[in-house]
Amino acid sequence: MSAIFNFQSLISVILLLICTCAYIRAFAPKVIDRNKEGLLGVFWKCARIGERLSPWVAASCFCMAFVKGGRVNENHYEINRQQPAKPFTGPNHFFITRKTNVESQYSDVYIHGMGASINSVLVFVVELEKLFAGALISDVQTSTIHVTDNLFPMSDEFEAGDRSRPLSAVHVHLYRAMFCKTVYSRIRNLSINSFRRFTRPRLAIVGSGPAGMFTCNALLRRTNFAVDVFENYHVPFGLVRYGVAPDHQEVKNCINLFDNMFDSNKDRLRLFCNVNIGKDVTFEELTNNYNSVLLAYGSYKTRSLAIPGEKSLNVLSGSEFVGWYNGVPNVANPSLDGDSAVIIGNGNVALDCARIISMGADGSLKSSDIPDDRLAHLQESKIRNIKVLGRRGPGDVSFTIKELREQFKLAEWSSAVDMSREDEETLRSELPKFERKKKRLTELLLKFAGKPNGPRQCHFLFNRVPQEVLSDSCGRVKAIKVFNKYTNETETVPCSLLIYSIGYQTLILDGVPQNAKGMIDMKDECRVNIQGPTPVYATGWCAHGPRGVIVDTQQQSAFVAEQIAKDFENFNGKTAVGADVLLKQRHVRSISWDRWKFIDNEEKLKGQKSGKIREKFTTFDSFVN
Amino acid sequence: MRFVRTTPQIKLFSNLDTKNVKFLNGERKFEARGKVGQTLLDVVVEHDLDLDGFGACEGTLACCTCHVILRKSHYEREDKLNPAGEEELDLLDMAPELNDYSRLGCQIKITNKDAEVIEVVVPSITRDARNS
Repeated sequence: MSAIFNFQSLISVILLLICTCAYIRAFAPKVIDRNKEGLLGVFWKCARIGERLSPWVAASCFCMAFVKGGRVNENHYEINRQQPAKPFTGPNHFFITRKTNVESQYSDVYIHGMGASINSVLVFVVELEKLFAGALISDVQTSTIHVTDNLFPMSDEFEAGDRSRPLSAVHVHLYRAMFCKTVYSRIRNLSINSFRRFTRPRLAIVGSGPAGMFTCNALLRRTNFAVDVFENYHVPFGLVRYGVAPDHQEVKNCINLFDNMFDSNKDRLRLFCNVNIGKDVTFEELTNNYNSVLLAYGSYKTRSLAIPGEKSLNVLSGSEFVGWYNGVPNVANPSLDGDSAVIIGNGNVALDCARIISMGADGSLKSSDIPDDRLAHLQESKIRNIKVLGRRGPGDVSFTIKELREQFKLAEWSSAVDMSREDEETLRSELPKFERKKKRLTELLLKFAGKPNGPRQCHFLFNRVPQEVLSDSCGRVKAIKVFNKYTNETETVPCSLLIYSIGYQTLILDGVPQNAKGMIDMKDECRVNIQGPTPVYATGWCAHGPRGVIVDTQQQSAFVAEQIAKDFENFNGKTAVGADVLLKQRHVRSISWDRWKFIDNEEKLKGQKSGKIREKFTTFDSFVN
Repeated sequence: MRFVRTTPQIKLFSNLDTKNVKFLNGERKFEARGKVGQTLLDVVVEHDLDLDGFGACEGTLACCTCHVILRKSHYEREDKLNPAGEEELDLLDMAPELNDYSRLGCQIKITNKDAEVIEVVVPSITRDARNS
């Protein structure tokens, strides 16, 4: 109705009415004829005008199209131009307006401009390129953004309102050219080493977890390699971020070492997160674009239970659960509303899961880095009874003693180890024969042999082979049938949450040779058995299976780095081009080291506000550029 | 830019409260001066010795990457004055090439009673013995 108070709109309403009535009368003359009275009489008048004055009506319609035309006459309004939402943010993004003054200390910089500023941006970039005499590379992209203007009418005739219009924008990515940096350093420091930089080998590392990073660190210290690190997730450090339990924050201190490494090797070490090797860039392309490739992508495929009913709801693998509480993106909340949980497996993942469920309720994880929503879910857990099932005996566990002791030390939980009298006696008699590690672990198990009691219980059971997962009418797990090797009988253990952690399978990248065991085919300890001019190495869990803690990975890494350094000692080939050009061509939205540091900072700031170490983000859409 | 401090600061009469620490890592040898009261990890960090990943958890008793093997006399003296706690023993259990005289470098402080040259072995794998 408000349209009628505006003169232009009133005329267009009348014109439309005339046209409509004339049209309807042409089809159905009986609906609108001269005998009608009231409103229908008005319609008849309109129809008659339409018939008699049709050329004039047509001309008026035509005029209206030009008068209004969706455009606003700027002389009639005071215009307040709203700032459009910035499509990218970050400390190294600059938005050029007519007043901007750019100062920057970053190694790569994004400059954005829109509308009338496009010209200034391009002039600015050309000036910069001249100034740095080819030491800068610019990558120019354009886009269309939508901006909104607020319209304030200057006379009563016009309506206040908004106007949206498309506007051209330009985005320039400026970064230092590698080559020129080496020229500068050659001039600065005329040593043999700097000459060698022209022919330094370029290595691609697949995976930024501890294995890749420790090897990278050892290699950078020993050689003049240039290294590109590729990571599938949006953020680096693999299991250090997504695997180490949130109550073991000290273990994550090794990140400081990696931080140092990236900061002090900016000219030859690059990070590309959010790049999937196999999809964005194939393994073959890596070997073609690098002098050498190091596989360090871990082994992230969980071995399945392979028993009937394993697809029931609320049955999940240990690594899924670990990923969930550690903030891996796109993992659904498991239901923790039942009374009891069963964890199958006798490794550290099983212990971590049990401990985090146990600690969830008592608030001791409040200041850890578990994402807020997942922590809240964990704190509401109703689980009072955890059973950790082992398929083999108490002598075969692969727990580490530190984690096991932590479970026994939990104040509100009563934890105990169930073992038969015979088992206990055999272990006690064999105890002196064991090596130190096994001896101390067995002593701990024997110390806590018995039955748990109290409102919250954690019970370790052995010699139970899972046979079938039983589910209720909704398809959710309600119990697990296990074969008890002590009694040779089948037992039913009720549970509302089932976590299994019975090992991993190595995922083999397309193009990487595979041996009969389903592992990467290795020539020796670290060299992959592959034909072709590019040597390929593997380290960490993807090479040897998921065994050992950080110290094993670290020692192995030093060894592998030494081997690579030895192989490339007399390298005098050409430096390979690297895959960054490919990524750019394919518009892969990778995340660089500087970008990650920005995310890192944001996470820490957000965590500080609620007294946490950091608040891990679980979506990264706003950070991808 | 990484600054490597190569020359230890030598002050007159300061020899009394500094000791020479020798780290034997496979075929490599590192020597640095450490002050009394510093831990072996502190010495490695301060002199930026090229021991890969040594002290990954920065001395918070969460890993065993600073595992060192002491000389017998040194170990016995430490064992009397500053025996390994439960936490340290638990971590040492996981250390590769564990030895009767193994300790964590972050727990061993240099004292006045130490010899003028402290020698410790930092185990490393020279050949990966694990079967793949």
